[in-house]
Amino acid sequence: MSRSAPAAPAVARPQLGNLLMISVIVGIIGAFFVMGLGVAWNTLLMNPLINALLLLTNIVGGQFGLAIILFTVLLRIVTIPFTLRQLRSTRAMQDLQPRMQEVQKKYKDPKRRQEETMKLYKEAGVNPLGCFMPMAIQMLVFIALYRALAFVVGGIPESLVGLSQRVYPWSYLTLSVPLEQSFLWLELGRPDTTFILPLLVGVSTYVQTRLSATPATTPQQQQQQQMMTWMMPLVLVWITLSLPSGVGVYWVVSNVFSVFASYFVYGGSMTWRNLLPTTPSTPPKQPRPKAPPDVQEEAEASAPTEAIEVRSAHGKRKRRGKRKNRRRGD
Amino acid sequence: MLAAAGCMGFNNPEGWAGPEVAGDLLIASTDKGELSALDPNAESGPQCDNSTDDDQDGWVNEGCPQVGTKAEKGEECDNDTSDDTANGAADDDKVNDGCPHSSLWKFPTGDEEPELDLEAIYGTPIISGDTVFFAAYSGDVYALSLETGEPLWGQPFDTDSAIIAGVALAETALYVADDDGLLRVLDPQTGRQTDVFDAGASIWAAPLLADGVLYVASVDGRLYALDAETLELVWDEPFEAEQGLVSDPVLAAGTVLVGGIDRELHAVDVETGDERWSFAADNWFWGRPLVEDGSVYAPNLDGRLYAISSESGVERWSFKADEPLRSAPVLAGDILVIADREGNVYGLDPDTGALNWPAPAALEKAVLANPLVLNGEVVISAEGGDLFRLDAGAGSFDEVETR
Repeated sequence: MSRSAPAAPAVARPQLGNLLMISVIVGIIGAFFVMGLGVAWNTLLMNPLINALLLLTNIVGGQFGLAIILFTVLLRIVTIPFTLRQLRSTRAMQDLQPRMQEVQKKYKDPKRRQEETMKLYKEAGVNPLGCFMPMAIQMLVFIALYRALAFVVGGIPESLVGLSQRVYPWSYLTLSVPLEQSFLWLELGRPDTTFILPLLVGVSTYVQTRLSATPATTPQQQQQQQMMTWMMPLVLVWITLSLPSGVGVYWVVSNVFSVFASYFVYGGSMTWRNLLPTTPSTPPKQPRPKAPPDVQEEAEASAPTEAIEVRSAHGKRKRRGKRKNRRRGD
Repeated sequence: MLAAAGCMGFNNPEGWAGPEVAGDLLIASTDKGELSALDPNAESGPQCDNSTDDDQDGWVNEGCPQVGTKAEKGEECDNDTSDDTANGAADDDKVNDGCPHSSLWKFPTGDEEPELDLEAIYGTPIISGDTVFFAAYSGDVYALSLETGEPLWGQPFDTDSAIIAGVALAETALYVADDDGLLRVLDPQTGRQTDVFDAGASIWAAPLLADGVLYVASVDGRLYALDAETLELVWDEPFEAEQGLVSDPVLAAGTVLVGGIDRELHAVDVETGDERWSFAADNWFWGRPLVEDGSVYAPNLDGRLYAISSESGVERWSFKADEPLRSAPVLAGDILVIADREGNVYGLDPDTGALNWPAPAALEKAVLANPLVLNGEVVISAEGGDLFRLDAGAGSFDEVETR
């Protein structure tokens, strides 16, 4: 499978996606402005999430652990347009790497370099904010969900007093309150002392981070990114050790969903090699011997960062040719 | 992302144990998971001008206001001299000015090996003779010496489950209900379990013991009446509400009053277990109702205090507080006092529900614990274990310093 084919939708439908995203952002900002920060946060995000969690708990027979899993999957499905857009933007950025590295090498003047980079983005129809905005929206939703879980998962009396102020006046919602805290080997309101859940959080975060990493343009960036690839899972393991297990369950399910979403976008180009750590590289001083086309194809099909190295040295003509073909196809 | 969310913190149990008094001692949870015995009476006025122990409690000028530029603190409060000059400050000639009320003991002391972590205390302690009984959120039940605060049992009784409900005490039995739904009977002398009843669902409300019958409410909406000696069911069937029962049951005119998540206060006949009446509100009934002169004063998380006829269940009046009401109302003289979750305290006319003070007293600390009436004053335990003494007549209050 060609690596460039799945990236086409991000380039082909920028207007619709931008419009949707801008509408959502304007809607959120407008609501926060009109209603006030606290009221809008509670009314539009927190309370619906809390009540949805309670509703799902009743639907699955009072099993709160199952409700968290179901809720996470549903939430990720609802926000999948943003997730896919983010992944496709990442993918498009990856495809641009060889040309961006050429720009980096060719222009020493920062202003000119930036102009050329922007020109490149424009030419390829890539919005550099395409990764950031969906992430920002998801982050907002996830922080609200986290706070919602704090009310519902905790299972402590104080949080239930707070919960009473947020439950909609529909008696069905409170049928399972206080919620059943036992799920599998976990007590959802308490940290997992078996370390199994923190480990799952760490592994799934590592896999998810590796698969959705934005390509680095410089060795420094690559180094930073690699550090993040390790640091993020470790930090989350540490945090999960002190958080109620319900939050960890949410995080693992969310990561697994992200991995599937990545597979959907990257398709066959994803191999187990994507999960291997890459060593930070320095820009080659001497051009490497040109790889035969079949070797080059193989390298492109493997880990994205490794592919970038090969292409940055030798893939210029071939990449441009592919872009031309794609435009013709459009 | 989770790290960012984690910065906002997660809820931890704080506890809402109310204070209790025995003779000259006030037993209160003055910090999370900690119980203290305090001198409830501070010296004041001319008593602060001398260097003698006027109230003969072993402490000189405790609770007296600071004079001059420096208050005494720490060990300086343990002697009867003015320690200012020894610390480089001008001598104000006042002994122990600014010293807090005396804390006679606290538990745990912090010196235990291994370290004790009670997590939080929700149920108000019970004092009987020279023993203080209480249960902690950590699942442990303790009997402490009232005089010294030292544990009286060789080991605390470990339920292996969180305990939110308070304990109930009979002459030869201590009743402890836990989050696993087990009501355990312990020997108050030894702390050994002698019997157990499985309610099948968490018990968050303190069991009520009256006339040899134990009333136990569970979060699956059931109210059991048990023979206190045998733990056998007194009613043919337990009373069943539609949703969880969480308020401490109380007796009123031949009924047991209990409220819960179903937004109703139920009056259940003590003989038959049948419901005589129920009263619906807009939110959960979690606070313990007060029964006085044919009226039930029931706080609700909708922020209203309802005055209801104990015979008919008909509303007489309601008072709207600014915030939800979890704390129980108390009667101090002829003033009905209730505190809301944000620490606004209201003094009401029990007949009309009219506010007796020009404005509520704002403690500016969350109040979820049940208050205590002591010598005409209301002692309120607020968030973090801060104690306040409120003059119900004037609506003014002082913070009680604890050490």
